[in-house]
Amino acid sequence: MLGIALAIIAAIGFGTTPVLARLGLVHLRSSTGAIVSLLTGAVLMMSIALIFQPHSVFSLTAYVLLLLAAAGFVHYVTGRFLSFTSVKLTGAARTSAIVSSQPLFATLFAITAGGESITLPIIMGTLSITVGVILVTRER
Amino acid sequence: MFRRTVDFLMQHRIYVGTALALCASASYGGSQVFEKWIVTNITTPIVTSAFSLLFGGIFISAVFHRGAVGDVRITPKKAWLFVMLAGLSSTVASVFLLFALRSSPVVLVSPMISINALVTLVLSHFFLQRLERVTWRLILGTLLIIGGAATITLSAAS
Repeated sequence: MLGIALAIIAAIGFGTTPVLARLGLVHLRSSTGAIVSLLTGAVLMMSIALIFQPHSVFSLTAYVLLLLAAAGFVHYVTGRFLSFTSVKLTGAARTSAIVSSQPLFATLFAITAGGESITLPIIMGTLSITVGVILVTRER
Repeated sequence: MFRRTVDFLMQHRIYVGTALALCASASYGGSQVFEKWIVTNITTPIVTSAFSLLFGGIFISAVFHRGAVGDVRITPKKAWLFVMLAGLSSTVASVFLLFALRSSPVVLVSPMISINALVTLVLSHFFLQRLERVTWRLILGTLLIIGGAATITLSAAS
């Protein structure tokens, strides 16, 4: 029960983000919005890391920092920046719906790079997502 | 030529925005695979999130800092507050997600996380009425995407 409650709170937080971004991006470029949101989050998360896991922070090697920089580039430079730009162009609700399809891409990467097999639920899920994206995109 | 390209893109902003959202989704999906490997083998989820956010912010700042400096002079304070709150809500949500995954298996947590798009729909209806419309087609499309994503996640988890 605790895990479900925490997950619901997390979902509310993730769902609120595009709405807040939409309100801010009325007056801001998407790149500026991405910069501010990322650096704000970085300050908060770094504070949490320094308070609760200082040893883990200060024991990072150059190689690990390089890996984290690569992760930051893939996740936030492309992910956050593109999603903010999409919010600005098409709106929060549409962007949030389409970005929710990310498990599809995680699975596709796992299939192509990890050798996992395609199953019937994956096919059905992919079809459902595809139809959903078409419906959302054709909205005027 | 550039002006015509921009005009063309703005006329088809829905399709451009959809393509960008799909690319963002692919980035998030791909980064999950990479970050899962990091938190499994290298360091903790909190440290991973902290430094990924920091490096992400630094990279984007390096490219777009001139535009950001220009925005400082002309943008109302309210806009800055909203994007800062967006950053905070996303970060706090990530922390709650980490604790949720510690407490419960992913087969229970992932479908719950999927409802975030519904949360956006509801909040958009109440707070973004002058900016966008929430219609039955959008609701149905969102439900289909959430259902498909949950099906794939549960299949992968089992």
